[in-house]
Amino acid sequence: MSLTNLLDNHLSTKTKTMVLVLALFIIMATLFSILRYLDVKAAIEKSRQDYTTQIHNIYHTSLVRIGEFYTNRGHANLDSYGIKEALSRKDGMKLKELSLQRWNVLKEENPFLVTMRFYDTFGNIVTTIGTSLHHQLVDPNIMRQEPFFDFLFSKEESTYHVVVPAHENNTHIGYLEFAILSDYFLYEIEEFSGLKGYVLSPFKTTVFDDKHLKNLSLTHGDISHSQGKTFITHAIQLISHTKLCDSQLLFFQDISDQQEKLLHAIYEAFFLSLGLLSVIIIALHYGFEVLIRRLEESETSLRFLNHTLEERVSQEIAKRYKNEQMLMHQSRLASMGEMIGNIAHQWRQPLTELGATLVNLSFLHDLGKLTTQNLNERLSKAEALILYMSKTIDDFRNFFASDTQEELFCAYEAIQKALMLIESALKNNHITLHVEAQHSCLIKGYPSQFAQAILNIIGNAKDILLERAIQNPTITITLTCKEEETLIRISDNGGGISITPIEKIFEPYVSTKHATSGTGIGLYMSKTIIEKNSKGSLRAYNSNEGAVFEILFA
Amino acid sequence: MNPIVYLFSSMTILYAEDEEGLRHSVTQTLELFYKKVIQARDGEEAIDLFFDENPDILLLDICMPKLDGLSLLKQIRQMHKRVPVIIMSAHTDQNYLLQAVELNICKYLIKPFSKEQFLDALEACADWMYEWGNGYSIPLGAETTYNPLLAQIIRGEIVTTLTKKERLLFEYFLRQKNRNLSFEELEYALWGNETKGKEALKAMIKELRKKIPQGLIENIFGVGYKCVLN
Repeated sequence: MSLTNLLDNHLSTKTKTMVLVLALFIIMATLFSILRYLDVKAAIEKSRQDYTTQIHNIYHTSLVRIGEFYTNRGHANLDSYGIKEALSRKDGMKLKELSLQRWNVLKEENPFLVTMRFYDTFGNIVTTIGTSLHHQLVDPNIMRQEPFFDFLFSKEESTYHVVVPAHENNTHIGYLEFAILSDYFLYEIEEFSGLKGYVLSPFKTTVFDDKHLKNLSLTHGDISHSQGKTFITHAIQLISHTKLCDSQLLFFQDISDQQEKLLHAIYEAFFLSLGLLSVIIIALHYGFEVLIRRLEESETSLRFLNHTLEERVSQEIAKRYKNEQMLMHQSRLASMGEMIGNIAHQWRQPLTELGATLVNLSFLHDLGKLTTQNLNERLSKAEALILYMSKTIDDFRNFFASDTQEELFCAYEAIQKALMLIESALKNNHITLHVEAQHSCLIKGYPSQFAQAILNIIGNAKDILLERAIQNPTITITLTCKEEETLIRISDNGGGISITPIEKIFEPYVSTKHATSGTGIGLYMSKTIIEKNSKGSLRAYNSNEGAVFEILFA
Repeated sequence: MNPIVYLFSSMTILYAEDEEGLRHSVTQTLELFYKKVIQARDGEEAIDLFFDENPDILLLDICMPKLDGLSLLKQIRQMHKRVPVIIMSAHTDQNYLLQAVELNICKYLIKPFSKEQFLDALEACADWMYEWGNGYSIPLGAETTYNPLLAQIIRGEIVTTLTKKERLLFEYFLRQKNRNLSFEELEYALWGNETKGKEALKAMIKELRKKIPQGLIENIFGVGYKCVLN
């Protein structure tokens, strides 16, 4: 058995539907979470980018500012009294003496200023104020006329240098150099960001004073973890043009908060989804419960119905057959009832005559006028009457004998057979009967059944004529045939059929007659006989005078 | 057999019936009692024969072609209120019975009928004709009665017997009482087609008046006579 079948068999529709809906929901929720995560991440990314840009801006601004500031200070110092003269003379003591006041002021302004040095025009140090450094920016081989700046890195120091050339009457006489610790930039950035920074130089291994910072990546933009916290590394390249050796300013930004925010976003999405999920489960459970129960019920009943359908169909067929049989039976009974009426009509005359003959005999006897001749005459008359009555009975009996097989029969004869039975009834009720018939029409079918149908229709016409007490009641029968077509038309002047639509009269149990005289089966049986058994057609319509029934065999 | 049936031996009956066999049989019986049986095959023939033959009694079938018995009777009743009629029919519908009763008939004879029913009908006819009391005596006014069986006029102890022709004429007057009877009608009733003339009739009436109470038969000038009897 396949998995699908297994599921089909073991899971209810409700469960299946719920699983489907939940799966869809989970997919949606996941998608939502991912989008939310990406959204938050992008926002964080952008804030980091901004942060980095700001740090760099501060750094660059500081760099330019420092350069300009010390260029100005340098010019100012060189322009002050006795400086250029002393420099030309390479009088270090004098320069130191003259500059000391200014140095102190500058040192106070910026504690990161470590050195102020004078050079002669060839790049030799004339004097140094402050810390003496192991490296210098002024290259003895190149004479520069304009101020210049650069970083210098060595094992001992990491400094930024600003050099201002000195001129005396357009003659280059030397340089004034300021050296500021790289840490100044750290300071500037720390001022802004509150981050602790480090200078990373290739000449010395930086020892981080914070143990948190161990194991952290030194590459710009990396995110690394230490001691349960998350940091992002910001690095600023300090480029030394003179000596092809670079250094870095390093900052470790604690982004645990942001990371937490990110996580929080995911959790938020997750819990939101979970909440919605429970709501949906509850809604599904209760909402679908009813719906699904109904579905399942109808499904069950449908299955049951399907299961029993065949049985019911056969039952129905059997019932129908039984009904049909019953109808046939009822029809026979009704016909017989009518027959008895017809026989009564048929017999009344001969019976009366027979009675009259007997009365006559009796009177003849009483009066002594009874002769043998008289007696014989009366007796033979009585016998003839009895024979006639007996024949009538046979006619009726034969009329209702069922046909065994289809045959070609004369329509006129069959109609005559029917008329013979009902003639007396018509006559006794003053109903005039007109018959216009071609005698040679042949029909294929069952002659007795056909005659019964004709009798039914005439009987109905008779009943309606009597019921409505029509003046000069008349029934007209015409029989015509040409080529393959035979048409029998039975019309009356009884005012017509009142049932609409007219076709309804051919349905069983539909009758316009009084409940006592009609069963509503006659025309139904006539229709069945003519259309089903004999392949003819029977239709009815109203003429100006009354109803017309047309039987057509084609 | 009831002697009253002999009353009819001088009378004519019109019998209308379309069924030939039955008509033949019944006619054979009627001929035993009546002087003449006039047969009609349908309603129209019957009405013609009635006016031609002026029968004393009618026996009518209801169901006949052209004109049914009841319609036929309706027409006759417009002029001849007194003629006795027996209706013979297979119809037992109340509707027909009621119509028949309205037309003032003696008997409604249902087909098929027995000898007794037939005799009853004849008797009812006789009763109806003469309206007699017990013992077949027809009151003719104060203390005088007529016995039709014996053709005797009885006044106290005095009994007068009528001749055959006198009886025929007198009984005709009785049956047609309170009706103007023309000379011709009376002649026809007496002698049929072989009439002996008005004078013979007048002579016979003169003889008859001697035997019956005075004023019973009145002259109607220029027309004939009338039997006045309540």
